[in-house]
Amino acid sequence: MKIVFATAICAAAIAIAPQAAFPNALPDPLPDDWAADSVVTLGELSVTAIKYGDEVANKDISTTTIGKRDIERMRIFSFKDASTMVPNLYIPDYGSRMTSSIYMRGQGTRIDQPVVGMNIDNVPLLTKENYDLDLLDIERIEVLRGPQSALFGRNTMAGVINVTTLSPFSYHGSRAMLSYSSGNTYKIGLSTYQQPTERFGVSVAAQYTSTDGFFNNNYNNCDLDWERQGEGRAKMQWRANEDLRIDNVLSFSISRQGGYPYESATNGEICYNDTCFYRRTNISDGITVELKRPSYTLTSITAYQYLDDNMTLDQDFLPASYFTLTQARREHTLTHDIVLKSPTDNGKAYSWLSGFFGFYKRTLMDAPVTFKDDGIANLIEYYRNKYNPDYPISWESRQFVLNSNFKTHNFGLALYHQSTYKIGDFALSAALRLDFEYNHLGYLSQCDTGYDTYNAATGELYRHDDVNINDPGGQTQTFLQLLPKVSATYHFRTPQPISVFASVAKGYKAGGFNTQMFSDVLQQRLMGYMGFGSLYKVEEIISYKPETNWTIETGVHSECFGGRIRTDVTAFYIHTTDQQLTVFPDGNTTGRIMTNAGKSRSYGVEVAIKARPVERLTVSLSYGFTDARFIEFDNGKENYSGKFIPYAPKNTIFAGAIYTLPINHAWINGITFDAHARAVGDIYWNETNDEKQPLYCLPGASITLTGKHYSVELWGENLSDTDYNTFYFVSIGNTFFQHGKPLTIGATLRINI
Amino acid sequence: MKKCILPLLFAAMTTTVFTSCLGDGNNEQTAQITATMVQLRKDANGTELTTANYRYNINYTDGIIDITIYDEDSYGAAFVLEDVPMTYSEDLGYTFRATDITPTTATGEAITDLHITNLYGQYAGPTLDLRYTINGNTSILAIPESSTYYFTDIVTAAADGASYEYGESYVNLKYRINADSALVDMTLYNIRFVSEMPVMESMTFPSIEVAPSPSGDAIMLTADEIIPKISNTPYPSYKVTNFTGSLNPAFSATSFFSYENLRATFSCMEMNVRINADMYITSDK
Repeated sequence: MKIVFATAICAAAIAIAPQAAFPNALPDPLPDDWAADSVVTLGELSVTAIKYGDEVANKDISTTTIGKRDIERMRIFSFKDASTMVPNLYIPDYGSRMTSSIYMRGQGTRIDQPVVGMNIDNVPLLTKENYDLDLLDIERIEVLRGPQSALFGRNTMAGVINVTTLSPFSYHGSRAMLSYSSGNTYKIGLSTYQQPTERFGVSVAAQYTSTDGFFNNNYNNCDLDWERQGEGRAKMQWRANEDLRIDNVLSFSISRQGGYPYESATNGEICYNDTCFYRRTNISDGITVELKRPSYTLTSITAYQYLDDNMTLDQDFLPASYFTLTQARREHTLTHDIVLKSPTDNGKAYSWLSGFFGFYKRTLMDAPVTFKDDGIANLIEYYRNKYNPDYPISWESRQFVLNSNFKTHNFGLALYHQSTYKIGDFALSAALRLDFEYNHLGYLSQCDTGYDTYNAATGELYRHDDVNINDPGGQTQTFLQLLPKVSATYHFRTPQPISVFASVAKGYKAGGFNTQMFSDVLQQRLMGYMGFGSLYKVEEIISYKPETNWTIETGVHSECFGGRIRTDVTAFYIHTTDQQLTVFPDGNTTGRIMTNAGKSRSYGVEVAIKARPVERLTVSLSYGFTDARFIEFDNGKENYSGKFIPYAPKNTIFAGAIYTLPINHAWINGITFDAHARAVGDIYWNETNDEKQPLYCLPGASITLTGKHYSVELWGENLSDTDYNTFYFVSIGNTFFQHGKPLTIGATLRINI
Repeated sequence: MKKCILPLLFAAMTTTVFTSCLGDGNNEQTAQITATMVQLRKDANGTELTTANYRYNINYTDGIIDITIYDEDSYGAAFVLEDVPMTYSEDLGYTFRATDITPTTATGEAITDLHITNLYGQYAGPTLDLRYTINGNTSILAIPESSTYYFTDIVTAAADGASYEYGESYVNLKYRINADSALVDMTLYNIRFVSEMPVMESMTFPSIEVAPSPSGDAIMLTADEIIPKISNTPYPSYKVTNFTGSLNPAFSATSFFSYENLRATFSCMEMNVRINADMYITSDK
């Protein structure tokens, strides 16, 4: 804790020092275009504005907002592209769009429940596999760091990301985008934003992307990480009058991709024989209604989401036929959030907000594991026969299926309230959420196969055994959580705004069922037919408990030099209990177990500085430091207490500079030079901390010619062609890595009419 | 508690040994158990192993038990011990006893030439032990034809003195006693007794010879050589030699079945193995 407070004091000094030293320096007003990106004013009907008010920057939370200008300059189509631009936010690009892991402040998991919630145009995405979407014309990405569970509920214990797409009320006209880059990657986007009447706006946007990817499969010399994906969106916004606003966003996306360029650590080759792919179709519709009355504002957000996806893997990732896994899912989700709050500008000391949230999610999933010849020979027959060479077995066929079907019903109800009282320059706030969740898993595990036993001495068939597994079952979990948050904010009476805040909040990540473990359960059942192994107790290994944390956070928001330097500094300490972690089971098993790893702690600092030292030059820096370690974690075989939590980076760094040179020419209005660098590391890959990715840096740059209705950008990422790893895992005793993307160059044409 | 429930579950599967039905007509809680039981039958001529058929009609409501015994060596027809008082305690389970009782026929007529004394039985779920004396000269100790014992430890006399302890390892004894032979099949579950072995879900030592101990209070188990079977397949690589063991079905006055234990030693893969198992493991173990 001493470190945290010391850091907080230093942070405050960093934020306030320029203000104190040069109270009257550079009083020039901010240029409008830069102000739009740096000062967050949320006049729209966004979930952030609904719950935090129009101005989030000086509130009791740590936020990073990436505006439209930066989004276009950094070619951000998905929140994944914003990784490291937000301090301590790391979203590795590996596997497929299904594996959208988010790490924030040392927290995060590879599968199942995320630690960061996500809303796209107010639609809360309850399934992590939906997170990785490409969107055209993102207007703003807001990242609220730290636990947001009091207002946003489950799975927001490390933060919330809110993505808002362009509104027909903020842009009028049509836009086109064409981009081509390394990996034979092209992206086409078309959109139009119209306002037929003063109070009604409508927009339609669509984009299509195709890439051959960067990695080849040495087994057949085919592209691995290819993708064809498209997205369409229709947004209708009606401002019936000053008191009634209705927004509806209907979106559709489809993705077909190869993915999974996993390289063997043994021979440095990506080489596997069975097909891998991920296919996903999403449909969602969200309607937001806001009704203002003199004494309150009522907002309702209702959303429906449909997910249909299929992940198929060569699970051994070897040029051998061990086994393949398919996970095909259809999911329907309905969410409803009602927020009732006091008017934002009533001038009263007391303000309040109350809400009700409910959701229902129904999931159907088929998850067959197909054992193939090498898997049968090496994982079953060899294992069995080495213990009984006198009576060896031979499987009756060289391929069989361990099949699992799942049906999940998941619903939740929550009531929440927040009261804020202002005493002079102090604002004290307290929030509390009562969150209930019900989760039921029904399963059916099946296998129909058999094997022959021979007498080795005579070569004669000794006996034949059928293996008929037909195990239905079900399990129910319920969770009830009280999620408080208390905070205090003080606004200094200085010429430029400075505010300091401190907060204590509880975060909550729901428990769940580890359906991937069923392949192991079935495999053990199968070995049990031959008398081997201890049987898993299904009820003990498929469910995992909720994870909760307490976060103490303090920070400073400041602006100085007429807003030319904006600084946000935060220090935090997180104590997490029952941290959900992915563990690979020992031995010749196929699944991954989600376990509650005991206790962990994480502390760190976040600094975000955006400055305009001279005209037309913008400099930005985001730095996040996290020291996240287990306090208690004994998996029964090893004690990992004191070890770094795997997969979460210790440092995230983003530094960038943009200079715009105005040109007085009929066709060209200006040239913009951009240079930036992202750095991430160290990342430990396993609980023993004996494998890690050291800190690496990826420089990037772009030159953009801008005209009245167009821009042409030449850009490059990972200009140093740095070789780094984004993922590590072990399967059947073999270690694999995924490399990050190499040097990438491209050109992007944008037309705005 | 888990260790208490597991034998109950296991026994529920072995319905060939015990078949029971539970009724609550007229709000009476009743159950009927039928079982073939192995008897240590001791008289002036010595001790022998026999089998007999038993039926227990239990009335939990009234706390009484009727025991029907068909044992040709004792009597030419089935006889019934009626209205034996039964009590329950957490430590002892259900116990029933009678110091002196005159049996009846199946039709309720008293059998005057058959006299039962010192009847004492213990019943916990599917496991039931019974002892009594016939006509003052023949003592009977009856145990189920199939019984489950939980391992307290498995010790291998290897160089490293390895000891394997599994919370849910257990052994089932299934007797096959007839006029020609007295054998038992011993099946060990979730077992491993040398490091070269994987954990076995089940392993059967078939056809171990059984005989009464010289004192007549225990059952001795012996086999010169055993080829274990796993999933009904012989495993010569795990050949067992010099198998000796004993089953001591002694009663306890303080905790039911806690003194009924199985002890065995044998050699396997050139290791000397000793296994200890109890009918019921008390919570303090």
